[in-house]
Amino acid sequence: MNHPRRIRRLILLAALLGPCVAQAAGRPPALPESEIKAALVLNFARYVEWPAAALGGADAPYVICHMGQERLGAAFAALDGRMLKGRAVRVRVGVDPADARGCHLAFLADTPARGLMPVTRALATQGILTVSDLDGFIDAGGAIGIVPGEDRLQFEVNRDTLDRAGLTASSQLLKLARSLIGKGH
Amino acid sequence: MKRLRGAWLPLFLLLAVLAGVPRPAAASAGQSADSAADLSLEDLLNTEVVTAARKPESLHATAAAAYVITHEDIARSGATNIPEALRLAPGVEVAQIGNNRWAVTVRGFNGRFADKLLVLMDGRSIYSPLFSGVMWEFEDTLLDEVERIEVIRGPGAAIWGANAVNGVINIITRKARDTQGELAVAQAGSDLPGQLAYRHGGETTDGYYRAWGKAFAHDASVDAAGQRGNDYWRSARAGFRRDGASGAGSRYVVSGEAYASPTGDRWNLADVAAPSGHDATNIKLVGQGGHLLGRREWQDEDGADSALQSYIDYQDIDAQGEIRQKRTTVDLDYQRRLLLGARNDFIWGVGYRYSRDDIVAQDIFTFTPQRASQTLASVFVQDEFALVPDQLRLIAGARLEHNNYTGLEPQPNLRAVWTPTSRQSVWAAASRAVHTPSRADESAQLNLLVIPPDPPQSPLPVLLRTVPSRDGLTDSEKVNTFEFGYRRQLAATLSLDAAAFYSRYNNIRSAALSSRQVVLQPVPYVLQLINPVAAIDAHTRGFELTVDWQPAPEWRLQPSYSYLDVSGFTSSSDVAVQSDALAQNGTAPVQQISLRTSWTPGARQQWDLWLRHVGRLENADGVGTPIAAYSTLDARFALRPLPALELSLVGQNLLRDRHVEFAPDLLPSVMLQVERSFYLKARYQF
Repeated sequence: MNHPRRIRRLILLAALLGPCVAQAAGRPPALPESEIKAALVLNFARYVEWPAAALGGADAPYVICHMGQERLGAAFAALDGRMLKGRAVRVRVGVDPADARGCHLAFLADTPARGLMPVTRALATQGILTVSDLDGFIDAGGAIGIVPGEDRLQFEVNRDTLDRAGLTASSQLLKLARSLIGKGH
Repeated sequence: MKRLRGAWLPLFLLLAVLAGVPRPAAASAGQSADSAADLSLEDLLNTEVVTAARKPESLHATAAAAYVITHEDIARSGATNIPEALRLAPGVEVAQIGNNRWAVTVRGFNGRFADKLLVLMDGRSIYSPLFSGVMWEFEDTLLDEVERIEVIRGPGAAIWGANAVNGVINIITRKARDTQGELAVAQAGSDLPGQLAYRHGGETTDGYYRAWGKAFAHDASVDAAGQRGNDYWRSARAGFRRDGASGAGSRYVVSGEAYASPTGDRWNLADVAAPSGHDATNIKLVGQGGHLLGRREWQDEDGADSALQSYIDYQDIDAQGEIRQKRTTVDLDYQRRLLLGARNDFIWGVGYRYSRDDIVAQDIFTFTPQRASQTLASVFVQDEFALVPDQLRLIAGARLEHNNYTGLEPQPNLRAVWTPTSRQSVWAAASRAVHTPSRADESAQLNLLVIPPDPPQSPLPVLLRTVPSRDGLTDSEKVNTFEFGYRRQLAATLSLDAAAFYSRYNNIRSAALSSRQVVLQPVPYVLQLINPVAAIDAHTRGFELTVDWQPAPEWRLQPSYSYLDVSGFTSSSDVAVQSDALAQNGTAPVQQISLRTSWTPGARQQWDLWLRHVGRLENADGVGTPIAAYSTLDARFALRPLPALELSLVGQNLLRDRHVEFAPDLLPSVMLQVERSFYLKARYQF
């Protein structure tokens, strides 16, 4: 019977041509996901207001704390030294969630052993903006979650968490969010 | 060891793909880092990302053999329904019996009504108490609705309840806010003349909602002799979900579905008057029903999290001329989780389920009584204690259930997980679980088959009829399981997950020969009654290994392997029970191997190959029918010519024209083959 052979040849052809098609349809290389995420976090800090007491003196830096395994650590470290709203940005990588004093923003790269909820709650009580790309982050009490769209990144915001942390997000940020939860929407 | 038949083809394909993989573009690291952080927020949100995929919560500290099948996994595998998607998890046996029927289990004892696996959809049990199994053909929700499928191998009884003897499958649907806008899907192919689906998502005053509808028609497959079978499958289904917030920190979900699904089958109905002992009859099996589910989650002042869930489920399954079951189930569940001190994570819950049925049976079936109800009341507690904070955790839990068949059933478990570093973890577990009798076990009388006359020893045809025996089934099936597992992240792009287990089963249901009499109408025959007895013990042991490797940013390899050994034994002197015990050894494939390769050369293209091998079944249906080992290959190519449009071409079961995966058990269906097939799918999202 010819059919199985013909089908096998077709599949082989498709597999061999695949790479060629890819090159031909070549799009300009998209930016690495890690760098986009780090850049998004920088922008979140730009559009969120911390209470004056949390910020310290006029020259005190914004402290961004990366928590968890090394995943995305390098991309965050690259933000160190940038200027944000007239202050410098300082990045601490591999911070323990229990040791978050001095952080303004915490990015959780990993699920803590105790689970997300106790950690997001504790960090919110300390007035820290919690951001992550973990699935279901804002449902677990996180403030901003980076979520995948079809082929780009989006974000969603938990307004109750922002309230609990004493933070204010600008209306511009909320408008760009794909979804909002909390505070009776 | 025999070489895999047709192994050359997938190997060649892999090599071809390897040869074509372009060298990763030399990243100008410093420059690109600057460029990303210099972009405005709007621009960042518009930048194409190659591997935009959800990062599921890490299983690193999970004290169980768990695997999460993500939404992306399902999309890229080309699976068209939930049983096909379940093949993505290691250790799960999925055998396609016909176009519209599957046998799905974990760690042994498979069958169309495999009864050792608890399956939940958003916390609603879809495990039917009629035959103690899942009728997958009527659980065919919109696959795009599924956020993830959590597969937990091993007893999940302490948290999830009875009948989670070998595992729990939890199908979780997407949140309404993740399915906003419009989605239209059209699919057509060799086996699937057509499928259409549409979904609409929008906002409400306090949250989000979606509504969807789906319809499809599936052709019949062929039987062992190459004749077209009668297993057509048609379905019309609709559903909705609404998520909202009601006050500070509290959320609610309301969801529902309704369906009408005519399916076909062909049964060899036992008939003493027929020379072969059976009449091959086309059966039309229509499933209709729906459910409504509501759930509310909130937080207390002291930080405790609570959840209250309730659902009502109606199902009407009509095998015209044979059996019709109408069932209504109501369930209420409450759970509360609180942190006690710095070291204890405590969760407890109570639940109540009431299920009432009305069964009209004829011909080969009789159900006595016609109407019955089952009640299930349960309470569970579990404490997670941090013995050494962030390093060693102990988990002790137990569930106490009361059902109206076997009374009170305690199901305890004890687990420990050691996480010496953030890259390694070791866990161990000891648990006990219970499987309760089904409605059919308790009340069904079924004419199984007729053994044609074999003169001179057996001059008359023999009709085997199974009758319920109240004495035989007061005891539930019990299993004690010991498990052990290891997870290791070897590099940023390479991780492995291994689990090993030993299970000891008691009181597995078997069938013993009972009374025998000669009946003269309609023709003289011998009526041999069979009683179900809980007389078989068994032990199973095995291990599962899965590896996740990303050799290049755009290329991902996921090999997995599972091994299973089943042995049954009995102390009964009944010949039928003894041969049934020996037959247990052949009911599960000893090995299953899976290899997935995913290649994503850009944000607009996806290439996927999935090679699977399932070992031989000596005795698929418990009465000696062997099924040969088989290898199969699925391939998918997807293209996104426009941002809103995705086109994909999928080939399934490509290695062979057709092959058999299972022999039908319990219901006398004709054995059918799984055919090579293709389909084309267009997905438009705006």
